[in-house]
Parts: sequence; structure tokens; C-alpha cells
Amino acid sequence: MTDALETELRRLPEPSRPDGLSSTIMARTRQVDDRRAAAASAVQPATVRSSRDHLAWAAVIAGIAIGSGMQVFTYATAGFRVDSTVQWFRVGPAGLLDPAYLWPGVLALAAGVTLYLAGLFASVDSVRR
Amino acid sequence: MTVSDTAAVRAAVEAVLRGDGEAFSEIVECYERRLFALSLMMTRSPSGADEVTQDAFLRAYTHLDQYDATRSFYPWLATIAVRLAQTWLRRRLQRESREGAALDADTSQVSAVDPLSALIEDERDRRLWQAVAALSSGERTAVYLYYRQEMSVSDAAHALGVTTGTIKTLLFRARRRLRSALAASDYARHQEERS
Repeated sequence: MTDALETELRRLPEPSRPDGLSSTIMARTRQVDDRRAAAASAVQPATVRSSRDHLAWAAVIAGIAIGSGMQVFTYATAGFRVDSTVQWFRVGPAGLLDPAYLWPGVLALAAGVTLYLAGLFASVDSVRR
Repeated sequence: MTVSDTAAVRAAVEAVLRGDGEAFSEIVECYERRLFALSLMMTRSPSGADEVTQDAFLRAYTHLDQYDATRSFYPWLATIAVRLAQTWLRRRLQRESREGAALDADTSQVSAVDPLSALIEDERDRRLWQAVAALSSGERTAVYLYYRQEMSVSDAAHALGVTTGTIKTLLFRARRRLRSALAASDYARHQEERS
């Protein structure tokens, strides 16, 4: 039930807003947008750098994968381990091992090591600002 | 304008969410007066109300993605303003207590010097405004949200962060105090006229 007081409260005078309130608010929202835009542009180089990092990391992982793969392949097919530090000097015409058997493995291992080193020393922060 | 949102406000909200920041001006134009009046009723300080209103709109703008579009916009906006006004009042009390000023700012002394009451020409309206301004912070905010801004009890409760039962109690107490204050004021006016 509504009485006279409640009716009066519903039409309680509402003060007018100060001049320039809406323009001040909109100016502040534009400042927020500017800050957001600045923050977004600051993030952009990091994204680019990240994609370059991915290439370097891919090379490192590919190198490790090829090197490890060769070890596993050698175990599985030849039954002995390729010792890259020792056998490297024993392969070839003057070596003790059969070159025809070892050359493909050595080449793949070398490719893996090359990829690994290329990735390892690749510039990961080459974005110029 | 009623409490329910206009199509223009809904369209503006969607436009802002799509990235058109300038569309927010439609929302500001629509609600700035109501929000300023609410903030003023809570803070009883024009500069405080200005600050709270600006911050409320700005917070609404930056958190618009959290607005539930299935509900009315104004209660959501008013809730932000009420919380900011409560924070503003707490800060002012802390500042006053640090500075050794009187802690009780919720008394009728404010109504006596309320600059807004001077702007209200109608005698009866002015006395009503002064009586509402003299209520406690919770009572006058509940009165203003429920009666003047036509919010439901549940929306007012949500805005103030209390239960619907508390809002009903605040409204009951406020009506009782207002009747008493207005009756005393009427009696005093009669006495003045007779003398």
C-alpha cells in the first residue's frame, strides 16, 4: 500500500549533474583505450621474438632427435653403439670398420649435431625496436 | 526513463564490447544524472559524488565484459557506484579520525548546511530532502534506490551488499523517522505562522 510519504519519496528532487561530467568521463575512457593500445603494442615484439625462438628451439630439438634417433637405430640394427668420439677416427678407407655400413649413420649424426648447434647459437633476441 | 534499459543502451553496450569505445557516451548520457544523484545522496559531498560517478563509469567501462546482458544495466552500474561511495565514505572517516575531526558525519548538522537543499524551491520538497539527507547512510541509500530510482528490493540489496530483509528493515525505519521528522517540521512551521 502506498501512502503520501511514499509518493513524495518517489518524486524526490534529483540534483542536476555538474557541467562537463560526461566529457570528463569520456576523456578518461579514451585514456584507458590509449593505455590498452600501448600495452598491446608493447606485447607485439615479444610475440615476434617468441616465433623466432620457436624456430631456434625446433632446430635444437630436431638435432637432439636425429642424434638420439641414430643411436637407437644403430642399437636396433647393428647391435653396438656408435661412439662418435672414437669411431669417427676409425671410419673411412683406413679405418677398422666397414665404411659402407657406417657412413649414412655418421652423416645423419653430423646433420643432427649441426642442427643442434645452429639452434643453440641462433639469435633469439634479434628484434630491432 | 524507467529502470529497464532502453534499446539504445543495450545497443551501446554491444557496440562497446565490439570495440567501439565512443558508443559508451550513450550510456554516460543516459545514466550520469541518476548516478550522480545517487552518489551525492550517499556521500553528501558534491566533489565526492563527482569522483564516485566518474570512477563508477570508468570501472563499468573497463569491466563491461563482466556485465550480464540478461539483466538490467542500471542496477549493475548502481552497484558499482554504491561500493565506490562506501569506500569513499570509509576513506573520509579514516582521514577525519586521523585529523582529529568529528567522527559522526551522519547527523543532522549536514542537512542544515546541505547546499542542495538550497537549490530546491518548493518548501515541502526542501524539508523532505533535508529529512532524507539526515537519515543514516544505509537508510537514505535504501530510500533513494528503492523509491527515487525505482529499483527492486533485491536489486537494492545486491547494490548495498545486504539481504532483502535488511533493506526492508532499513526502509521501515526510514519511513518511521521521516514521518516523525516531517511531523515535527510541520508543527514547527505552524507555530511560526501563529506567532
